Amino acid sequence: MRVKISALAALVAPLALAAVYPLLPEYQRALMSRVLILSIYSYGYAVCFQMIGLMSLGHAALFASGMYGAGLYAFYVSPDPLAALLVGVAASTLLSILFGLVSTRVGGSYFMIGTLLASQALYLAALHFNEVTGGEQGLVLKKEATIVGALGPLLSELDARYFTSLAALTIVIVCVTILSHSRLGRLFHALRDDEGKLEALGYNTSALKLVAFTISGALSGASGALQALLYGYIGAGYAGILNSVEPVLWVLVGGPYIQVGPLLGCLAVNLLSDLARGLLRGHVLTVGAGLVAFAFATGRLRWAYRLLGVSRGRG
Amino acid sequence: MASPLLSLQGVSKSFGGVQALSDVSLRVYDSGVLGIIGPNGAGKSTLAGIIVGALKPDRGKVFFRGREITNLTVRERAALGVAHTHQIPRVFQSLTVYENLELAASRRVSRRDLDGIIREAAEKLGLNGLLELGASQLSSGQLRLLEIGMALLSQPLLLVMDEPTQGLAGLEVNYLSNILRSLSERLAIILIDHRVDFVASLSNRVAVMSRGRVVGLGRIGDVEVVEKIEAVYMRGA
Repeated sequence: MRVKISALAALVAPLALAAVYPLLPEYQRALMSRVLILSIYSYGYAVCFQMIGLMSLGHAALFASGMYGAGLYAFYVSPDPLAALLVGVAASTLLSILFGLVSTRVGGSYFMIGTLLASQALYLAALHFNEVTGGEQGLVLKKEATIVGALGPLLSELDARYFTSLAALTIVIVCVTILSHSRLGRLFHALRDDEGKLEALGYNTSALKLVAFTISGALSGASGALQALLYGYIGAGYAGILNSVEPVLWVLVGGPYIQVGPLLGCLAVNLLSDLARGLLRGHVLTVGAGLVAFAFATGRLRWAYRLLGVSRGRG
Repeated sequence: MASPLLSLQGVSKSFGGVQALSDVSLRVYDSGVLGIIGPNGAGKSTLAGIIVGALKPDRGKVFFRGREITNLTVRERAALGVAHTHQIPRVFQSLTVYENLELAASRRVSRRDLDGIIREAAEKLGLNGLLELGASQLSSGQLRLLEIGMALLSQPLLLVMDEPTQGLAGLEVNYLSNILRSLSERLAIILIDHRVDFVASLSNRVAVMSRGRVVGLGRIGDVEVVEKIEAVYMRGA
């Protein structure tokens, strides 16, 4: 029953986001567009962190590889946003496989350190090759190379960003919901519960981790590619450490239902962070305070989850 | 005599300065129960770890169906037909009973037959009313049965059971005895337990261990074996 409720919530969420759009003031529409793109990143991160229990500190590199793949293709090769999107997703998928082949052979803190180092290497490479990437300052894409430009005759910039990101997010939610209820999803949950036991049943757990990491990276890269193609900008800042830490908080705050948790967590943290921006200096402080508060409140949240009838942590 | 299913030859294992196993040699045949008894620290669980591949011996060799498996991993040994149940049952807590059994069976059973085989196994183990329940909601006895069910659905040739009665009440032990008795007719079981009566009632042969060595091996009624059991439990020899 819980599974059905969470799957239903996953389908209702995009409808609610579409319905609420006309009611939002212009600033909130722009803000929500950004948050919806980041929610795709949040789902990508959740596949790795929530489904198989691997905490990566290098997902910013996977997000950025999608962004650079799409952005550089649109900037240097062809102003075709659809082809650029595919190139972005392919780039992040390839990088995920390379990262995963090395990092998924280890676990725990070694995995975190490995992914962090790999991510920092990509960040430094983006800065080093600044004549190609634009470095910290970044590159601005021509409008016709972006999705906003392609949808220009049909939709306003604001509408194009919101509904494109919402459509992409809906596809991701449906895919993740199907994945979590598939046999592969059950294997991912089993892997998180007890890797040794799964190995003793004859499963190749390294291969399973690599598959999960690659799916996670491809979704993160899709988010990065959409970011580039909806806002027409790519920059090394997206490959920084903060962009690796934020999804940890989104997934933790979002709770145990993978169908809706990454969206709820990303919405809650980013909307609160935006509210706090006027009160506190910088959202870095908000994110840090959020992580500390979460660490202290974990016991209470568990209680809240139990109260809601959530105990299995998978949905 | 038929060739053994499993054979250990001169296996030794130490942890730091502690000699956990010393020159252990054993043979297990295609069916029946080999009981392994001995007090705490005798090396029983280390022996189980070496058989299933969780531990590598410092010296000696392990053979399975005539093939040396000393350096094979747990997964490779599982693929050959070695299954293991643990002292504290290990199941997938976030999955249902059905899903646990399904993961165990699906590597060996075709998708078409899967449901029927899972339900049949659940019925034999008394888990048929619990299939939709989360594994985290089971009692310790039910968890034990679920782990056994998972091991059986992986269709092993050899089942290594480490302290299966731990945490079970008297009635549950009797129930487990009946299940193991019927299983032992079609697969080989290595039964490691501290309850001598439980092991004795089920085993065709018993190995008595003390301080990392097999000090007695034979049928439970053999005078020599009984003397060794008395010696290791009463006098700590």
